Amino acid sequence: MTNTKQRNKHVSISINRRRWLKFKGLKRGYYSFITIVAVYGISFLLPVLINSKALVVQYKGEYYFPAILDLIPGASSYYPGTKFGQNVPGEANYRNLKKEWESGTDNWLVMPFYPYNPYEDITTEGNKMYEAPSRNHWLGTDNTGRDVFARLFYAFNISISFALILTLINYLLGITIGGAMGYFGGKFDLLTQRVIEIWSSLPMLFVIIIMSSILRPSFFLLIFIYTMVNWIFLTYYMRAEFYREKAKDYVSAAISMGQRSHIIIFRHILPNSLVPVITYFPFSVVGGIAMLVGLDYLGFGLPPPTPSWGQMLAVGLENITKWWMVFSPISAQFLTLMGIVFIGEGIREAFDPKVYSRLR
Amino acid sequence: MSRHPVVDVRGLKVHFPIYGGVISKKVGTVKAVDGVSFSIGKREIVGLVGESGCGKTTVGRAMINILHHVAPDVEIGGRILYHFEDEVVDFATLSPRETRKYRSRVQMIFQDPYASLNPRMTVSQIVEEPLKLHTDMSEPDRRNYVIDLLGKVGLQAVHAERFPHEFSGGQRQRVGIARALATNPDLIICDEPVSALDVSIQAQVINLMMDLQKEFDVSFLFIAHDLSVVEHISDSIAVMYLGNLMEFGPSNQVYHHPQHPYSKALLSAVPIPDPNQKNRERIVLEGDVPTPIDKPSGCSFRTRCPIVEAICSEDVPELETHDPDHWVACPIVKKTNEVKSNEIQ
Ligand SMILES: Nc1ncnc2c1ncn2[C@@H]1O[C@H](COP(=O)(O)OP(=O)(O)O)[C@@H](O)[C@H]1O
Ligand SMILES: [Mg+2]
Repeated sequence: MTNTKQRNKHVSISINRRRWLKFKGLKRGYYSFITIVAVYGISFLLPVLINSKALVVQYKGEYYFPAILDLIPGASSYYPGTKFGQNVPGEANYRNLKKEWESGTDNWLVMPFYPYNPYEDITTEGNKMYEAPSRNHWLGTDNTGRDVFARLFYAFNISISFALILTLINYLLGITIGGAMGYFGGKFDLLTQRVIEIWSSLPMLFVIIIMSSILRPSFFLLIFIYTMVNWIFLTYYMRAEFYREKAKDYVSAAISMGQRSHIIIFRHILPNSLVPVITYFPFSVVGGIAMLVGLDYLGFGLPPPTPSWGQMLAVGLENITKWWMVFSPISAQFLTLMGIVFIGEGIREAFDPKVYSRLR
Repeated sequence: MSRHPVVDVRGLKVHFPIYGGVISKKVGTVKAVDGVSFSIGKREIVGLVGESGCGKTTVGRAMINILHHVAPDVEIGGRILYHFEDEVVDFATLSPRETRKYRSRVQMIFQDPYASLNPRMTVSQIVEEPLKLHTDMSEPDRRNYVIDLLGKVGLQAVHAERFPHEFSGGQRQRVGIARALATNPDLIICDEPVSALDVSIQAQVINLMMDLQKEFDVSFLFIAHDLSVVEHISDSIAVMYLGNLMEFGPSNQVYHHPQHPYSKALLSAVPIPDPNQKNRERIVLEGDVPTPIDKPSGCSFRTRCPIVEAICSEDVPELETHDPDHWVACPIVKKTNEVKSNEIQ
């Protein structure tokens, strides 16, 4: 009786599910994963959290939602000040409106949680450049009077997005080309290897610097340039993995039953070849972030006024006495990279078939 | 040779070129299989024995035409004639693509049960795959048939949704057997199917295979390096050495009256359970097996042969009839036989 019960209770788990359970058990990596994913998810809502535009404006019986419109790509959230009876050139200044409407009007508005945006020069409101952290500006202001706290968070979103897109494109290219080299072997492999050797012997840092000084760097141009350098690395792994896996008997079995090549590649070999590239994924993201910071720092990165840790760091190091300008980007970068490295460590361990391989 | 052969292998050669140097010049050839002929009849079990490295697996892989996959420039010579119901097909000249439609007719059971099952697929997915390819069964039919097959190989329905890593070596090999049987093939090549298993399980698995062989009316090429196992189960035995067949004949003939000096040596190494037979002559071969890259001229066994003579280095000896159906490739054995029969006359 108990025997049959036990047998029915047996739950089969796939390798991947077992790895996920193991990863969940590794607290440091798992909590870092939750935190980074959560913060990154929330960072897409930044326009309604950290923004100088109002969430809701009620003016003369009508409602406006400028900050929320910022969430929708392509939608225009621009309202001239005159629309709300404000005597300013250009866009409305909602923080001032709020003060003006505090008494004696039916109009009202709700500001976001942190009412400054990363691009606006707030020296017009009596603030100074390089203002130390205060109740209004939690991490002070920078060399052109922009709020550091706001810039820090927008830069987080941009950095991670940049690194993720970069890594995904690299992976796509590296897995496809490396996998094809390993699977087809022979002349194709030989030829591609020689091309890769020539390609990888180009001094890429200089190529990047030259290219970004000729062309106006943009988010996608930078991704394109980095991809040209980075996809090569993965082909080495994938080529070796495919070479090893395709010689295994389960692939021979699939061939001997007449399975088609694309199914053998995608269903049999690929899922069994991804371990090194998955464990490498977080470190590749770390590399992408660090690279962007480096180029921004040198001034070859994203064009100003894009919020970026590298640019903030450069400004900070020019004015080393303004500690918040140095401290903020470094801590942000440190915490982010550390979190991702913890994730990487957790994944690596979850994929390790050995049970006790952790240094304690 | 046999009257109703499923497959007729004639002068099979498998040579792997070796490349070296900066510009990948061909620097040599591994003559893994160098002229092998035998045939397997309907419902027959042929045992293929020989030391490790002599080319048994390569013969098996050539017979299912999957060598190109790992070695794209492999050179295959000779003929591998399959006699399917209505046509005769030569796998030695067919490209892998052309072979596809005949694949369901010949299957293989692999040596290493840990590498031969895809770790990402459940047992039912593994056994179902050939059915998807070669039958137009509906999904529920396939499922039922898979459960059926699992039952036949001694597994239960609850095992169907499990992954290979949850099984022992013996159970995995049973899954491999079920997969090979799924398309109801004419021939299954069993490449040392039990040599990776615990000794206690080997007999179980072999007995299971024998039962299934009768039930499914299938022929076996049973590759092994253990002569006593092969003698027990097979109808004929082929003895292989360094890419060549030395002897081929009915099982009890080869086992009890081996003619070729290499077969004799192999047999003398088989442990005998009967202590009274201890006085049996024990032949210990001297020297090492030469490499298949640089084979000796003439008979490949001559460097270690106890009865070697000058003619042995001249031509590669052909398999010749010793008795009807009993073939030996040795010029010395041939000579002594001729002398004997002349004396009788
Ligand atoms: N793909 C290959 N490339 C080069 N040599 C090979 C290849 N496959 C097998 N060989 C060689 O062929 C010979 C026979 O190997 P194999 O058929 O595996 O022997 P067995 O199964 O009898 O142990 C060995 O010397 C082996 O090194
Ligand atoms: Mg072998």
